[in-house]
Amino acid sequence: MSRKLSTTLSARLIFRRWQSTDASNSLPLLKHTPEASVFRKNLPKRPGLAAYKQGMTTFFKSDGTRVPATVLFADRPQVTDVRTLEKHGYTAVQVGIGSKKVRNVTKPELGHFIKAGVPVKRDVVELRISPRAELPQVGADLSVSIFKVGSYVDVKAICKGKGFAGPMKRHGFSGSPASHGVSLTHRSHGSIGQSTTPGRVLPGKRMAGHMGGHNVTVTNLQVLQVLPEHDIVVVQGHVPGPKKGVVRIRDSIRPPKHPKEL
Amino acid sequence: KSLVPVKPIPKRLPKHAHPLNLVEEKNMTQLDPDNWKRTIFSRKNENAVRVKDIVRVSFADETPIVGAVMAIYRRGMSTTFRLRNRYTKIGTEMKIPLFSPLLKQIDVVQRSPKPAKLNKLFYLRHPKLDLGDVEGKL
Repeated sequence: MSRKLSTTLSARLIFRRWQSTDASNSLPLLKHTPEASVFRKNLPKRPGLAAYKQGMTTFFKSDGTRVPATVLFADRPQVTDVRTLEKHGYTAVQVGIGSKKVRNVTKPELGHFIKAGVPVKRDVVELRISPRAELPQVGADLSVSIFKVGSYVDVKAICKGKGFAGPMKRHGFSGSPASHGVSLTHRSHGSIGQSTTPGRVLPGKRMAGHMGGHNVTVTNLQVLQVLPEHDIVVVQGHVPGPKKGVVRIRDSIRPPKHPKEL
Repeated sequence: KSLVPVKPIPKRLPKHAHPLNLVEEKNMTQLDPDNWKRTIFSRKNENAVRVKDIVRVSFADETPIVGAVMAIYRRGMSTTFRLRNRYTKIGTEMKIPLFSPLLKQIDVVQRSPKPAKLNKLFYLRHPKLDLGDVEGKL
């Protein structure tokens, strides 16, 4: 199985070393290395986009089915930098969206945007791409028109933070009865273990603690509407994070076997 | 070494437009080209359908439904209204999305003589206060 690679010569050499299993190669690339893992990952062929979550609305499909929809605003997306295998050890595209006043960025940040040939961006995000894919030019304009209506996307964002959450909220524990003599422990976790054996609390015991504020990926959201003249994409369903939060949209890496018609 | 920034690109939106409102307006215009759905529950419209009026709702591929408007949920694209009727002593309610492409027409069958004092008439669920079989009375 030989695939045509449109990457540089050194990237192709790395890939060949990863593939080879015979002893003829003087320096076989071990499979348990970061260099080899880049080729093993299931990464999309296109970088995707970054966008701002605007809010939710209703969308009616042609057959009258009513679905919830999230409006995402990819505000003037442009490529601000590129990560390559030779220089950085992985392949990614850095995309900038939004706008910021020049006086509100530091000189190093300003220099970074000038080097890319783009105006100052409010949010900059890295979108990982397959090492076998073609990297876009730095400074290139991106558009929401890369997403076709009816196709599926994955959306990643940092979900809303819930602070220090109790076990009932965090893990869905049932708590204790509100009355019948229960004193002072209506929302606690109750027992946290057994007796003399094991005589300790097992690691991983679900307890109260910080909840939310971490990365979440929602997969296989269908693209319902694309407005390239306004940089807007509308996807079906819910997307993590608050309104105006930055989200990363990419092509589904595991699209559904039977895509639904719009 | 002077840093000359690149000139900013203007936002690809009409001035003071919000992307969410833009999408909703675009879709509402597409789903409601004759503009009757956007005005039928409007408080500024004199001939609007109000709560407690009896209406007949016609769908694309179903039999029309007659009922008293019990509640109107004004939410832009997601505007819905609740119809109630009492078929053979069984109270039946239906919440209908206004901008559904399957909803073809809403005809006012009978306007209520006095305007309802509340915006949501859930008290109609009480058997003594119910309006009865509104379709049968026609």
